[in-house]
Amino acid sequence: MIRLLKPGALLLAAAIWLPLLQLLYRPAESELPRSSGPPSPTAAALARRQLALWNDEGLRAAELARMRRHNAEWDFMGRTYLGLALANLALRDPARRAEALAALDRILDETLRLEREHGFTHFTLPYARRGAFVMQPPRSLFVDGELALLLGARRLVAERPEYRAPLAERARLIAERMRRGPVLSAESYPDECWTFCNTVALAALRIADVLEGRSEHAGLLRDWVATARRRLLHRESGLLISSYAVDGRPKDGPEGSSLWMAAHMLELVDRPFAEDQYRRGRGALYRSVLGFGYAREWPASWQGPRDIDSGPVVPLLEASPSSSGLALMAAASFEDRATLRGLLTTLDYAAFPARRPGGPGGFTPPGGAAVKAAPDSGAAVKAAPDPSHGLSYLGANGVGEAVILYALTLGPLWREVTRRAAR
Amino acid sequence: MTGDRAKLPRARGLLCLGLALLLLYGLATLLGLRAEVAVLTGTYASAGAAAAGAIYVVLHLAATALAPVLILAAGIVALVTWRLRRAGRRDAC
Repeated sequence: MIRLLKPGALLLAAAIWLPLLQLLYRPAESELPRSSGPPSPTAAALARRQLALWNDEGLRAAELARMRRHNAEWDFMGRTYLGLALANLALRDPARRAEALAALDRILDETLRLEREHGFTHFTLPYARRGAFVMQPPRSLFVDGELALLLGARRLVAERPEYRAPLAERARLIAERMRRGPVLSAESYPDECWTFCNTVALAALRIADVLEGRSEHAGLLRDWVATARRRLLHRESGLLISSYAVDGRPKDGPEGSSLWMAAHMLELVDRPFAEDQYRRGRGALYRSVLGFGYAREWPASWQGPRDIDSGPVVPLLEASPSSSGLALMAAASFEDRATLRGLLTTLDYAAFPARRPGGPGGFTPPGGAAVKAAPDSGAAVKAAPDPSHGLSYLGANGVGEAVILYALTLGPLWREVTRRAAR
Repeated sequence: MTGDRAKLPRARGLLCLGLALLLLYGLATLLGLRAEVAVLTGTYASAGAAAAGAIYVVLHLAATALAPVLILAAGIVALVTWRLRRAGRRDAC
């Protein structure tokens, strides 16, 4: 009996402590993303840090070098998520609209310049240069789709005439190439179509239509969903596969890092289909242990290769940081508060937030202007925000932080699309 | 019962292990290993930084999930053995 005292005490202590641990990291109700109104204190602090990084050339160069050493895509995607977050922040808080738009314009102008000077491969993995694209001339829907989405997001917040022609041209190219494909999809890499990129492109086309007050691409959007239901669903899980050849042959099965984004983008294209994908994804990929939520990269019915998209996967739990970060975005998009709470609890526990001086509030560092600009002019004047003012996640990288910021701010932009479409 | 009492477990081992984990975690934080945890997303500057980050993550888990369990278990063991000893002394009287 005495021999069992120590193991018994350990078991009892574990039974007491482990369920309580989540309470130390669980977000307050005010920290859960809301679909409208000013950003939460966490989102505001994260935005301050992201803007400060973007405005400080030295810090930004270091962060970009850190990301690009591993994956040039992260540089590009970081711009997209931060840009989308800024568009949402501009809609959430009219008092800070000029500041957010000035930063968004800087991101757009620099990204377009880099693409013009170095080509789309500046933002892709090296194998984009090695193989032959089926569709000629070579273009990557990864780059075209996200740039079109950002241009559209900017124009939705406030019209900027200089962006009208670039968006129209990009939308024309995207639609023309997608229509050419047997499964209405265009390549991101040689003979490699990604659900992630194709759904981003569909959302961009939808926004382009809404901006012009037309329904030019409605047929393509409808046909894409019908084709996807027939050809791009994983039989066992009913989830969208993540990558496939131009002719529709599957390459990778369902992956969290693609699926959550696809569900969020498809909200603008076919809401019932998007909700179905989110619900299935939540069932197959989301797990909660003792109040800590996380997402797996693959469902139990399909095991994919560990790669740059999945990131390191925690053994036994099969938890994937990239799938979990994007699941946060999808949960916010579908207003799934239980999942949001679980994922934010894990974020606070395992992503190592570094709270810097400055305190919560708007996303301008207290006592210092971040970016000064004439409203909607796009002419940002660099000031000197203190990058230590804000919130950073040491366990994440630049793109991870941008995804988190977007997850915490999304809502108003998609609502604006719906509102204008109804009009 | 008398034989069992003679071999009553001690709480000190559990307590020392729990405190040692907390101490190591504190030390690792002071040494700046926390800054290297980007290894979680596969973004690290060097193999050394990756190893430092991995060590810090393990210590973080140990200090937050394991150390409190060890310290709590030490408290439970101490309480039970104290009661058993007191009951034993009362029997002896």
